Amino acid sequence: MGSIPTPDTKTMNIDEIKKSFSDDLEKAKDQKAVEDIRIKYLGRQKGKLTEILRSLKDLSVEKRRETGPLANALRKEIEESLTRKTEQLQTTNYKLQTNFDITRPGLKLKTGRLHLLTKVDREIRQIFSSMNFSVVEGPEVEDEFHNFDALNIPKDHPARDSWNTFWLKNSKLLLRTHTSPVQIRYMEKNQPPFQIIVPGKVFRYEATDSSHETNFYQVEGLMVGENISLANFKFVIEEFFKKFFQGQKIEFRFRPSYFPFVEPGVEVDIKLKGKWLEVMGAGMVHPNVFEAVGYNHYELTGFAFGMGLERLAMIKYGVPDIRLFHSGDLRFIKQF
Amino acid sequence: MKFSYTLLKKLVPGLKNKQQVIDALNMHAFEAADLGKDTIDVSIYPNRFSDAASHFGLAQELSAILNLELKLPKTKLQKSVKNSKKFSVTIRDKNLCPRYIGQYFENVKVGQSPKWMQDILKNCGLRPINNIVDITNYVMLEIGEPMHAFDYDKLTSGSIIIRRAEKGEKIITLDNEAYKLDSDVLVIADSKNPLAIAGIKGGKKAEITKDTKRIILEAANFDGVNIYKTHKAIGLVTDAAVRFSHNISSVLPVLAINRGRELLEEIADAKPGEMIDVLAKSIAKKVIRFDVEKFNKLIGVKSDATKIIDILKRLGFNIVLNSRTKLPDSFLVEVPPVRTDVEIFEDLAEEVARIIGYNNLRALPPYVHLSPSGFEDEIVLKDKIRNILMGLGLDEVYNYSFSSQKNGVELLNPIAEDKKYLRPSLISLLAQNITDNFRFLNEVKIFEIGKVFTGNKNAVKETLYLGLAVGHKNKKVQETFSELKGMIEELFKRIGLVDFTFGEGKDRVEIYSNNETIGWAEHEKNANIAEMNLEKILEFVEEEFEYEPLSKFPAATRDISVLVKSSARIGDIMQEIESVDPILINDIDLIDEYEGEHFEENKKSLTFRIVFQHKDRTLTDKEVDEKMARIHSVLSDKFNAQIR
Repeated sequence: MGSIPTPDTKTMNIDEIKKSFSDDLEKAKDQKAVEDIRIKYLGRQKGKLTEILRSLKDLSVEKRRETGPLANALRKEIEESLTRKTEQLQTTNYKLQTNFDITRPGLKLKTGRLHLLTKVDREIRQIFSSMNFSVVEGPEVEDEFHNFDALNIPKDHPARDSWNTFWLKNSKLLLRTHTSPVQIRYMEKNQPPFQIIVPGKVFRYEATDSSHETNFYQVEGLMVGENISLANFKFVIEEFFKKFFQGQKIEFRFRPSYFPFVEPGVEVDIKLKGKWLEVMGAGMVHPNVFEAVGYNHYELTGFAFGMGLERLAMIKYGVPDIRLFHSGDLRFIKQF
Repeated sequence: MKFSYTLLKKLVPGLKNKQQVIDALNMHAFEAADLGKDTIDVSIYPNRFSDAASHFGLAQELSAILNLELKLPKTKLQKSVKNSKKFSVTIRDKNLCPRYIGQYFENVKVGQSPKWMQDILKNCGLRPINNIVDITNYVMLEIGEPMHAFDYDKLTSGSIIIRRAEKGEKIITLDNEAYKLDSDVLVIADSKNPLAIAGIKGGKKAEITKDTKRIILEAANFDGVNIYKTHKAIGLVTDAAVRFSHNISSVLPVLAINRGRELLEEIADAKPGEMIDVLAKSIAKKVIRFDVEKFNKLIGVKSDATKIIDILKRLGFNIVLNSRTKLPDSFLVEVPPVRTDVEIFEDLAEEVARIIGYNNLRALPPYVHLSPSGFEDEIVLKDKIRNILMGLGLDEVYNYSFSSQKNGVELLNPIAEDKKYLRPSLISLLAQNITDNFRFLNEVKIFEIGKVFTGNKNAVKETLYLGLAVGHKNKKVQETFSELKGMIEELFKRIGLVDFTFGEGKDRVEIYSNNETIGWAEHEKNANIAEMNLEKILEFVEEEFEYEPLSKFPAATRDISVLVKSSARIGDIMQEIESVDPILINDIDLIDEYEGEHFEENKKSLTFRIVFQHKDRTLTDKEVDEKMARIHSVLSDKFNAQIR
């Protein structure tokens, strides 16, 4: 390797040397070749450029002035090029260590994966924690009072039909149809001001399909104080969704809705990738709810909201079927 | 609920097109969607059936939202009489029937209704029958009040009695179905038989036919709860039943009977007779104070009284103003009786805010009292366990809370045969997960954190459990058990549960802590599965991690291989080794185990690695050798072990 062609003529001019040098350097594959090139052009005895430099003193003043600077500049250039090439070769040489193959596959390390619902729950909690919300939980088996009555959902009224309920046999107990009863349980024991979120499993007596499940998860939120307004709700929720869908362009739409435990009631839609999606039911806590827990509803206001964890996960991660979440299928779980 | 755009446009002539209606409703009132042609589907909230489940009501909404003129038909109100020679009305149960209006008509010409009416009925999902029935349905679409018509000549002695059914009383409804009634059911009867299941369905006896000449037109109000319970109990869902279930207003019958009369005259050539109106329960007048400042605080806006009053008026509210003040801080609002949903200030606030549009409100950061936010201890523990188990290579699963295990709490209305109970344990669900995943994987290591349920009808106890499962298609149960046990030990160590032991229960491995069983493990063909009570664990966790000085002196490691009976227990052997010098012996580990052809039958070879260390000095070989000799003799004594 690295055989360097030697031109016949002993005397090359500066331009020729320059051209010849760069051709040679281009071909150099290892340090030895680089060294040979250095000797060929800058060698003390017979270096091409050395010869020219040496011959300067024999030239006329005029010629010397013309050639001198050019020759010196070229010497500098050649020295620099050689150093650069040497550095380059040192780096690329890494590849040439034959017993070190970076293309060999990485070892498959076995760590577990948390369920996507856990992951999304954590994302949500983190955002609300950063806004000073605490996280609380509550029972999955509930009584009618906490699941319905205290939430101002009238008994024997079609309004209650919106929550298809699993009942326990021979008992007045039920499986909570939403996380809202935890609002009641929390307010029974705590005094405002406060802001909480309540993640948890809920149950609906429904036929299952790709967007309906009998077991699913919700996150409930509640903020109560003396001056909490609907405009505050908008702020908190917009902040939440902007963070949750960070990096995506997002628009909001707040529409009227009806939930007996809030007044006014609001539905939140977000627009992602050009599509409007319903993501949250919410509103200002109904005075009857405050009354049910013994709060002074003349002095307090608050907002409450609820959203489906699976739904958010499906939107954010493109999961097409809600039934995957409870399938126990590790091919699904290991993806996240 | 289906609405006709044509009819809405008639009532609010300023409407531009169907899309305008849909958008206005969506952003300011109800969810609405285009069902094609003339039909708009609107989801009327359960609390708005009284005023908005009708074209008049929706027209009022649209006129308020879009600020367009409302043109309702101007119907003349006929005066009612107390008694009539033609018929009588008697309400026996005033709670179940707050109002009943009946009107007598003669010279009725039964035939087809006009095309325009048929079109609107069809576009709203109703089937035209004859002009009389169609008029009652059309008025229901306009006003929201279900009506009924009886053939007068089929009534026994011209009497209309609203009473509870007698137990066992029977009625055949218009669709020829027979119903056996009881005293919870309200009926409209003549002096002999029930004529209709009140508010739900008409009966065959006084059906309108082509020969009908004289009729009694009914517009009444029934108790919502009773209608709701009755229609659920007898399993009969009708338009009327659904509407009455929602507790609609007692003023609707007045509007309906007069509008009905007008249309009967116009379309069926009918000659109206006397009208009897029995108002059993008076309609309370509702007046609510509207405080502008309170509104601005609740919604987070700066609206003035002028704007608010304008909106409320457009929605049909009457404002009582003290004439002296120009821009009042507060004022009284008279609620139209049809607005049964408006009861408190917040209801009015919602009316104003939604017409302004929630989308048009500002987003304002709240001023809050700052106190540290936190997580409940149980939540912290769950998080920690999840992270540790993930690190140990386990995947997390979520299973249904339902199971087929009979010892669980039973559901009244299970969704499926194999989901009849609440899960009393996580084990069988995890076992199923392993089986399912074996179709694709040889090795499955999973965990679940979730509630399990125990108890009976009087008290149900739900407890937070952690389930762990290790399954391998080609590994022996002993191997996967060791893996599972190792995970549990590591988990406990990491969460700070110091005191725990494994013991042999009747048909499972018990896990004890603080003299209580906190969990157990069972094995199946290819898997070992454990579950433990996280609430107990939370109670027992000590989490006292404290710095221990690092030893400056090197440890000495020795291996020892012994041949013992297969039945010898490894734990016992390790305990004996340790007892030789619990202070110097720092750690003992089983590093190899072999049972097979090289040895006598019923023997196994075990190799232990023993680590000796002294905290104050370097151990000499001699010392360690002495300890090893001692271990040899102990093991040969106690286990008849051959040292190899």
